[in-house]
Amino acid sequence: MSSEHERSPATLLPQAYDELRALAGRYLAGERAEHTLQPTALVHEAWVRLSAGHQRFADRTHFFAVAATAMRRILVDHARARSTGRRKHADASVSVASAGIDAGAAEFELLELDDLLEQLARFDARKARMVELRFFGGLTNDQIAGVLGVARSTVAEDWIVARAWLASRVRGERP
Amino acid sequence: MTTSERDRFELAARLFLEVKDLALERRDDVLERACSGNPDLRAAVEELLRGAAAPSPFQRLAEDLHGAGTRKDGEGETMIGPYKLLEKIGEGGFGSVYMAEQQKPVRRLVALKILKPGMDTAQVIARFEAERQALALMDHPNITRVLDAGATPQGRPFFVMDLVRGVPITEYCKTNKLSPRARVKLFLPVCEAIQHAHQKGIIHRDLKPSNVLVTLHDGKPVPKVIDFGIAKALHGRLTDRTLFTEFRQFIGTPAYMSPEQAEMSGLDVDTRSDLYSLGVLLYELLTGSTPLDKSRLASLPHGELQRIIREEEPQTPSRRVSTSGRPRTTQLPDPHALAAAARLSRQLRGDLDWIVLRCLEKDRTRRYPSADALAMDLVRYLDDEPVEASPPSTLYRLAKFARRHRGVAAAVIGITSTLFLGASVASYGLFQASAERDKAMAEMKRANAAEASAMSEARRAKTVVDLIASMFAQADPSRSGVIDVPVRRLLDDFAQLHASALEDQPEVLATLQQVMATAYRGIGDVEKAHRFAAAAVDALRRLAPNGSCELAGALGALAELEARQGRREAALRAVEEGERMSAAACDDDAPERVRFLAAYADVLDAAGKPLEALDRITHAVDGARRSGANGIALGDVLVERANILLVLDKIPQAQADAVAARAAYRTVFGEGHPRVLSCDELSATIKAEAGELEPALALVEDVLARRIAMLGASHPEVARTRCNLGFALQTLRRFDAALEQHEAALGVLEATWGEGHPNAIRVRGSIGADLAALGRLDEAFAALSTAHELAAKHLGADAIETVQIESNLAIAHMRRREDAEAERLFDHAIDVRRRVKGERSIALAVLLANLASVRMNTGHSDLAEAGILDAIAMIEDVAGKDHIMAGRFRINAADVALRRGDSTQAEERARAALAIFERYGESAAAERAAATALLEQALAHG
Repeated sequence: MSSEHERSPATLLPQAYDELRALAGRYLAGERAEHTLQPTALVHEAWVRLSAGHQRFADRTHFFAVAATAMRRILVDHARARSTGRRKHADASVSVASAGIDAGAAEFELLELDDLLEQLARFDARKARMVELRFFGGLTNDQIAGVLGVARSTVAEDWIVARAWLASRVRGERP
Repeated sequence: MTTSERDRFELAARLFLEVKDLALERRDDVLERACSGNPDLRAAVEELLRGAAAPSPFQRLAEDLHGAGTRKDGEGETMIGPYKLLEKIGEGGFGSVYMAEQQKPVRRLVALKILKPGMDTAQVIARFEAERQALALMDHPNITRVLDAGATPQGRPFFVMDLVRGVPITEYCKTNKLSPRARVKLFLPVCEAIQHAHQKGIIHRDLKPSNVLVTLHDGKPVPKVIDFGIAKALHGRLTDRTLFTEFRQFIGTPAYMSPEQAEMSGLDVDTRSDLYSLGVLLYELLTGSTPLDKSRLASLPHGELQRIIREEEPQTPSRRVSTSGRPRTTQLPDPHALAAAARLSRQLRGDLDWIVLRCLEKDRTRRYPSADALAMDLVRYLDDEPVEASPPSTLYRLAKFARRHRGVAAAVIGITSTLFLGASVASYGLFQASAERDKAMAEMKRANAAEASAMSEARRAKTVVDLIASMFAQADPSRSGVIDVPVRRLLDDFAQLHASALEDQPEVLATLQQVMATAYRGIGDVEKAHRFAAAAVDALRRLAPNGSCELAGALGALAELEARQGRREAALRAVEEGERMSAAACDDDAPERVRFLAAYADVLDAAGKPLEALDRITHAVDGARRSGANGIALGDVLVERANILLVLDKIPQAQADAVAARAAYRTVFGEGHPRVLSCDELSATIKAEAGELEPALALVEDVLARRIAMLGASHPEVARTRCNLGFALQTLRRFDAALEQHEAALGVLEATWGEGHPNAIRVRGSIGADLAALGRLDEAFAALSTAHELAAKHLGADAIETVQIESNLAIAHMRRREDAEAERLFDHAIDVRRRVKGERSIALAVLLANLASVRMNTGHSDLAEAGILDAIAMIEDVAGKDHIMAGRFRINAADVALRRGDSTQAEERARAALAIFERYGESAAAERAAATALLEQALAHG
């Protein structure tokens, strides 16, 4: 079902990952502040930078799709490191989650979402991917439809189902 | 059931979508049918239905990731002109800010601010437009630029700015572990940006770390001030006010908000409000926390919030750092953390404390007048120059302290006079302020315990301190080092102002008059100082006809001024009356008593009674020692005694006192303090007097280097050291080097104090002497004539400074062969010296020798020879047979003998001179050559 847009995420991912990581480290170091750029904003930023340099990404939607995965990984790694207190020194330069996201509760939510998406991917990869694109890439339904090569209505339905499923599995609010 | 999990989920999802919008009974029916025999499927669908009924999951996460409410289901891309809106990054009262992508002509990310829908009344649009124009007016590397502006087809106006991607300045400093100095450096461009905005008529009104972002530019951190969203144009207030009442917003961020801004009157916020916020920001940069605790402010009801912002005094940054480093639990403190906190606290103590607190003054008239002024003071801090901030704040705080603790007021009076007594001493360094403050606080504590509680005293203290604070808020001559005329004008204005205002408060008036006297004395205006000192004495006499310790002190101060103006009799009368009163009314060994005795000694010294002066100052020294006075008081009297001993040519004793004074100051101030250095300078002078010229020179050069390193080149303190260095160089006959030092000193002294200041006059005189010695006679004559005129005018014809210059002017006249004028001036100088400084001294011997030279020129060789022999006898008596002056005089004596035709005596005198010069090595090469020439002549004639 892969459209041509999803052709080679494996080779592009490291590049997007590095770029995002660098951006995240530079702009979002430190604690949560009142005025920050959100991670999705970073994705836009990374796109502008990468596409200015070389045209290896077919178009921005394609890039966003790749970047969403990278972003998820960065945020989750960071949250995991922080929440388990095992953050290594090298990670200190990428205190991403702490910037856009309220420290404790948000980290917890982030890790839980990641966990649930992994479960979901086991029996419905497309819906998991869709959620990933939405949450971590900031893509609109139209864009997601383009990336996944499905109808826009499918995306809308997928979202309704995925949201319901996530809501049924979520362990609940943390204080 | 072999259906795979995957298939079952797909089925469940389809069923879920089918039934989710059905009525409950219908839903059950459908599910019953579809899931018969498949309870797992049924359970999966039920699960999804429960999920759909639950609140949206990960809502907060989504908001964090995307910005609240910016992305709704199905929302497409929004284009505004060539800009594609990406994310909402901020929201103001009537506009929203988006990150947007500009497509043409270049692709880049920008910030786009657009009026919110429904806000487009003419008034709001006008206001919005005003903000855009305000921003467009500004063009500063540390402020976001406006790139473009326009309106949507529906008429919603927008404008486009640089998108600043950076971290809040506080975070940047923390992450990079910047030192306090580096933080201050990074903060300077922020001040400049705000100054720029203010100059364009724009107040930011929401300065806080998240609005000051640091971006990296070629690896260099560049702070950018963003979000002039609630900025206010200084003009166009009407729309402004309407808006704020309409929307009832709490404008600004409480922890960073000035008291007047917190009042929310809307009209009364000006540029100084931003100065307050800058202060909070600097405070946070230096200490890691805001002066008023953020979380505490957040929990307060509105009225209480305003009250706290209005009233609560912040801790000094250094104190905040040292207390926050302390552990709150019973756990053992981490010694490293404690040490680090202590170190940081030391770095902040003093200048940075005062600079920050001046920004945070509740009363905006006491803050820095502009962001530029703040920046300049920070630069002074970075350059290790004395900062402007401290004294008014200190006094102001004392006043406030007095208001809160009325019982303490009596002591505050004492404090104000000590502070200004301090200011009258020419050497007043930056470390001293904190010592004085500590002292003042200690005195206050003592007084507090004593509970002296007269209401009138409290009012007196408050009035005095307020008045002084208002006056000196802008400038303190003794430490700024850069302020000239305005200080004098300030004093003059104030002198006129306070007299009429205080007729009904004679105590206040008397105290103020004493303060004014010391202040005028400090800037070298002896005449005005005298007027105020006399007025204070009169006022205190009326208040206490039978005398008081305070009146005795005033008499002492008045007497010193009389003596400085050469009015010896009046000085002695005042000081003798003061002595009777002081001995009766002051406690033995009390600081007031010790201070009076020092003044007494000073007057006696000036009146040419050095032995009596020595007696009094020795009492003062003993008193200070007995009472365990602090190092400052003891050091002061020891320095005074060293000077008197020097006049008496008691070189070793003088040296001992200078060393003891140094040790006393050092216990209080530590090594390297200006007062400690002053003692080194005094030691050097004593060495020079003792003829140890090279060591003296080396010592003064060392002091000069240390002073420049600490204060910068253009500080009056440095100028004073240059004078002493010049003196040492003169003694070594290195006149070109001496001239250089003296000229540098004169520039600074005149710029700082004006041409009439005693030190400025003295240096001008020295320049004349240097020029004369270099053979630049016309210039020398001009310099000396000017110096003499100024001295006679400002210091009095019989003042010792005037006489010194007069002596040099006489030498210049002598060189120009204006013998009559030279003789007249020498006669007068000798007369005054005899009267004032006693019958025998090195200076007098030099004058006698010079007068003898004039008499040689005029053909009175008998008188000349008698004079030179007198001079030799005197110098041998007071300075020893081997003093270089004794050698120089002998050259003259040999010359006289030769002219008289007595070559034997000439030979004898020349040989004696040579023997003396041998001891001085290279530094007496010129003298040796002269003596050798004379010896050869004598031998040739013999």
